[in-house]
Amino acid sequence: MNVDEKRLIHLALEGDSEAFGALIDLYQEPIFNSALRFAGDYDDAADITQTVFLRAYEKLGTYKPEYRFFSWIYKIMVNESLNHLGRQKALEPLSATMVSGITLPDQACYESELQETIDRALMELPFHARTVIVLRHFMSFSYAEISETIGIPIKTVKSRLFDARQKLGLTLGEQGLKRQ
Amino acid sequence: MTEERYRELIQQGVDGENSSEEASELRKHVESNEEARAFQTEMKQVAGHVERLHAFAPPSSIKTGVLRAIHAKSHGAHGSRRNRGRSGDRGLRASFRKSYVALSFGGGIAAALLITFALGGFSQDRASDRVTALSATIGHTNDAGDNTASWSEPVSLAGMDGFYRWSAEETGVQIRIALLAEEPVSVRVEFEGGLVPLAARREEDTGARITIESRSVILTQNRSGSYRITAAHEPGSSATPAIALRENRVGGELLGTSEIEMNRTVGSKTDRDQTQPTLKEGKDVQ
Repeated sequence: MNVDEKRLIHLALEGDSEAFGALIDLYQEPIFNSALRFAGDYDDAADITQTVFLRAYEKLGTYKPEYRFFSWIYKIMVNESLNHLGRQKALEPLSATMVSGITLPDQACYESELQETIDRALMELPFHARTVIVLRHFMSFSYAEISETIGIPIKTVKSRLFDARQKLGLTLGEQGLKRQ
Repeated sequence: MTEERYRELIQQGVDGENSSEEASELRKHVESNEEARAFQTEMKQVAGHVERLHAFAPPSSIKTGVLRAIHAKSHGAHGSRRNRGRSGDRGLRASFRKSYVALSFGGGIAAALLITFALGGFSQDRASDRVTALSATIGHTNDAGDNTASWSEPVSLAGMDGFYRWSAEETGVQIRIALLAEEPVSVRVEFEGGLVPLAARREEDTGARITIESRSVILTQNRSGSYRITAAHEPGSSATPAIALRENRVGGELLGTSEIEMNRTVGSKTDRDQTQPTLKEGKDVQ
């Protein structure tokens, strides 16, 4: 943990909400984007992200500084996402049609057929496979960091990544994308 | 090199995880093995496709909402005795047929809130001892093209018998509201003393219905308990939006009634009350 992060956590524990706000600034984007890939919905991802930080603030006293702070809040996010998914009847691929009323910043790009196809393929992955893909590709986590974050051996990280990419390749191949 | 070994090295190579020795080992193998080359290409393509997905900027409301809730929490520590007592209910989860859970947080913050409105009925909390008698205004607006019509009517939360549980002393509560409508609508919720606009989303539900679910909101101050739900059709829509109420009345004229379906679980106990809707055709108010 870097010094700034440690200081911010210390200040937040003492009730400094601005310090906690700085922690939100640091991590809301990766948490939000991970939640988005889990929940498959922009609004739900925002809800999950908000809940994650509220819970993080609430439980900050239980955080152990020997672990990465991000790993800690990421676990909260995974739990919240699982709770959310448990309330959903079925997952749907990310689609602009799911976010009516919201103007997405990159909507024009996001609505491209290619993006939707890839997102759809991603959303078809099992949750644990999506988790490693999200951490690897959206967080640029190393195998060791993924292992630490979700608490599985590095060997399992590799095998899950491998399986996930195999499935993605198969799906994208069926869509005519793999050999693009 | 075994197939398993080179596949592992290829994946590690894609992820930049190979040591220089492993990279060298892989390079030699790939140069002499067509199958390995093809597999490497495939892995790079798949990884490349995923890398093309964009990261989205989170809405700015996340940070604002969290900090407001924290502020509300720190200033709500002196809540009523009843409210503090209810904090023990944080673990309660109500499971509705169309369940949407709104989780409260904080030591002095009350339990899960669920609100479900449906044409086919809306959920009802029969744990009347947990229902606070708050007055509320519920209404909708029909924006069908240029035709704007609306109705609204005060509805007693007590009369609704707990479709919405909300202690007036609670603060920092996340609320999630869900509607069922026959067509896409937008929805927002106004709380007394403050407007909390909610962006709606829609998703296909079973049958022809569309579920409209608001975003969670955070109450930043004590609210004495009235709110208005506004549902608006997309321009060009001809149908009448509807929010299920026990009674829909405009100017004394009963437009329709809808009975309530409730399926709530507290712990291991499930409480259910189900009847069928008898909604009449909606009517616009000019």
